[in-house]
Amino acid sequence: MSTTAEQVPSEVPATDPAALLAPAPVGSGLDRRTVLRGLGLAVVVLVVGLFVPDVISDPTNMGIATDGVVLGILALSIGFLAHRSGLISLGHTAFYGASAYGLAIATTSWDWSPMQAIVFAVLGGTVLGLVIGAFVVRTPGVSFLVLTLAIGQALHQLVVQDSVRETTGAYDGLAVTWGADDKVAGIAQADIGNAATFWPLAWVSLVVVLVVLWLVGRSRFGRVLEAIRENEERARFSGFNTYVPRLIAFTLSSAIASLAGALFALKASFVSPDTLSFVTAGDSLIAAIVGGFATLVGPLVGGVVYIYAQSELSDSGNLQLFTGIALVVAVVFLRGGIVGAVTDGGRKLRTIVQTRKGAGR
Amino acid sequence: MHKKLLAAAVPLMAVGAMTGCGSSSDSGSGGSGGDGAPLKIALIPPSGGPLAVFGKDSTTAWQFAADEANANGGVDGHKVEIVTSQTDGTPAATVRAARKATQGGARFISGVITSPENGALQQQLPSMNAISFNTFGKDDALTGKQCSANAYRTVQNTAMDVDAVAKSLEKLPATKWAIQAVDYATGRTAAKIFTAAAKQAGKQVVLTQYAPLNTTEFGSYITKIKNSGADGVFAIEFGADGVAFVNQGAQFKLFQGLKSVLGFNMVSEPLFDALGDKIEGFYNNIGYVHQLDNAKNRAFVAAWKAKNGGKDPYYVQADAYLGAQTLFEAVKKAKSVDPAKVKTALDSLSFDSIVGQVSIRPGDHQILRDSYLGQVEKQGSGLGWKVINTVPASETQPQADPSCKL
Repeated sequence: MSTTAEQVPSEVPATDPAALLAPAPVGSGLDRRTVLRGLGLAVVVLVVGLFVPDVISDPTNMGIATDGVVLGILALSIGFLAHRSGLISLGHTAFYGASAYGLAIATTSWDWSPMQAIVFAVLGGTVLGLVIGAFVVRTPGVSFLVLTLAIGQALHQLVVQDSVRETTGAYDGLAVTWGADDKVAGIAQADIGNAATFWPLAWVSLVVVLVVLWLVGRSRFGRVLEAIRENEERARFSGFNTYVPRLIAFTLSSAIASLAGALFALKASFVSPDTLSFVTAGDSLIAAIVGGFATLVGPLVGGVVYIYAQSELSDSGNLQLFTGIALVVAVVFLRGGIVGAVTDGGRKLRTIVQTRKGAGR
Repeated sequence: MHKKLLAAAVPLMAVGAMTGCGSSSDSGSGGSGGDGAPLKIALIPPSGGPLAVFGKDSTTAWQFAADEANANGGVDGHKVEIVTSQTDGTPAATVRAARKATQGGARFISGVITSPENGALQQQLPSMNAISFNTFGKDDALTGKQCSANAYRTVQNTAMDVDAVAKSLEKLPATKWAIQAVDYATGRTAAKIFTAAAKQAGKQVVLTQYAPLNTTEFGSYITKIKNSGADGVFAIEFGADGVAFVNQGAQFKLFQGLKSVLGFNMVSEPLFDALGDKIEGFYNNIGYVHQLDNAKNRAFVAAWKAKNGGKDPYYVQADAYLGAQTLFEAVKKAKSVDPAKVKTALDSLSFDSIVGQVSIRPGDHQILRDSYLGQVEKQGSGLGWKVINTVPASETQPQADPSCKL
C-alpha cells in the first residue's frame, strides 16, 4: 500500500496527538463498522487462543509457543515501527531488557508485588523509550539504526558494570523472586514456569497489543505516519509536524517491547545481560523480517517460527548459519516475509480461479 | 475482510502447525523410577564460543562415566543413557533445550557451562521436575542468591578457592606482595581476603592495583610492580587477560626478580602449552590434580588414560566425572531414579570419591571437597602440577551461604 501525503486530511491539526488518534472518516480505514468487526474478530481470536494449551498437550511445544508469542510481541513492536514509520530499530532490546531488569529488581530487591513490578517495568521502559526517542527519531535511515544499536549496547554495558553488581548481578544475571503469596493473573511463582499456565497471560497481552496496533495503524495518526514515511519533506511542506508523530510511534513501540520484556522476566524468573545483547536485538529484527513487516501479524508469525527453528536447529551447532540462510531466503524469495508470501499466493490463486471462471462462461 | 481474517488466522495456524498439535507424552511429572528404568541424563553444552571446549570435555567425561557404569551392569541396575543437546549458550535456548530433554524423559541435567545459563536453568528446575549438577560454574551466587532446591554444585565455588589460596600464604617464600587484580567482583574480593591473610601471616602488601577486564596492555602495571619493591605477585587475571599479563611480564623480565608468583585462576592445564616454560614455578589455586593419591582416583586416571591415548584427565573432565559419581551415588542410596527420591538422597549424601571424602551441604547444595595450591613444574616433556598445600572444605567455607533460601 502506498499512501502519500495528499491522502492525509488537511484539517488534521499538525501537532495535536489526540486529534491524530481520532478515527478516520468513513472510507479512510477506521469507520465504526470496521472497528466493531475488528474488535469482534479480536474477541474470537482471544477466546480461541485460550484453548491452545488444550490442543498442544506437549509441554515442550507449549513452551515453544509461549516463547514464540513473547518474542513475537517484541518483533511486533519493531515491525510496527518499521512498517508505519520506516524506522528500523536494532535497539528495542534496550526497552525489552530494561523492563525485564526493572521487574527483576522491583520484585527481588525491593520486594514489590509482581503486579506493581509489571506496571513499573512497562512504564519505566516506556519512559526510557520517550526519552531516547526524543533524540533518535530526528535521524532516520542508517543513522537511526546505528543510534538505536549503540543505545542498546550502552545499556548492556551498564548492567554488567561491577559497581552495579549488587543490583543487576552483572554478567551472572539476576533471579526473579517474589513472595509466596503473591500472584500474577492468579499464577503463583512456583507455577509460572509452566508454559500452559503462563499461556493465557501471554496470549491476552498479545491480542491487546494486536488490537492497539491495528487501531493505531488504521487511525488518522497511522495515516499521518505513513505519509511521513513515504515523503517526510512533502508532509512537512503540507504543514505537518513530522517529529511528534514519529516520537509517539517510537514511544508506543517501546511500550510494547517493554511489555514483552516484563513477560519474559516473569516466565523465565531470571534475567541476564543477554536480554540486552546484540544477539537478542538481531533475533527480534530477523523474526520481524522473516514473518514480514507489511502485515500486522507478520512479525508474530516470525517470532513463533524463529523460536521453533531455534529449538529444532540449535543441536546442529550451526544455528547462526541456518539463521543467515533463513534471512536471505526471506529477503530474496519471500517478498513481504512468510505472511506476505502466503497472502500473495492466496491472491494469485484467487485471480487464477476467477480467470478460469470467466473463461468458462 | 477475507484478507484480514486470513492474516489473523495465520498466527493461530502457525502456533498449531509448528508445535505439532496434541502430541502426547508425560508432562514432566517424573519418571517411574522403578526397576529397570534407565537413568537418563541430559547434557546441554554450548556449541560454539570460547567455552565450547569445556562443554565438550564435560560431555566426554559424563559419557566416560556412563560407559564405565554400564559396563558394570548400570547404576544399581539402571542403565545410564546420555542425551546431548547443544545450544548457542544463551540462557533462553538452554532452558528450552532442558525442557525438551526432560520431556524426553531425562530428569538429570548437566554440561551447562556459563553462569547465566545455570542461573536461568536453576529457576526452572522445579517446574521441570529435574535436578541439575553444575560441574563448572564457580560463581558464588549459584549456591547463594540464585540457589535452587533442585540444583547441586559439585565444583568448588569462588569463595572456597580464594580462601584456599589465602590459607596457603605461609607456605610461599615471598614477604612483600604486590596484588595485580582484574577490576571485577572476584578480583576485589580476592585482593581483600589476600590482604587480610597476608597481615595475619606477618607479610606485607606493598601495592594493590586493578586493571579493567579485557586489558591487553599491562606495561604500566608491570612497571609499577617492579618499582614497588615487591618480591611476590598475587595475580588475579583470567583467560586472555591472564595470558597477556604472563607474556608481557616475561618480556619485561618481571618474574625473574620475584620469589613467588601466585595466580588465581590464571594458569591451568589447557594453557600450559601456550604459556610454556615461562610459567614454571608459578603457584595457582587448583580444584583437581590427577596425582591425587587415593584408590578411586588412581583407578579413574588409569581407566581414563587407557581410553584417551595416555592423556591425564584435567580439572574440567575430572569435575564432570565427579558430578556423575555424585548422581550415581545418590541413585544407589535412593534405590531409584525418581528425581524426588534422588533429591532426598542427595541432600544428605556423603561418599568416597576421586577427590577423597565429599559431602553435599544441605543448606545450599554446595559440595564440600578439598581445594589445593599447586606449583607448575616440569613433568616429562611438558608441564604439570605439584600440590603444595591441601585445604579442606571445613577451612575454606564451612557455613552454607546465608543468602541461599531453599
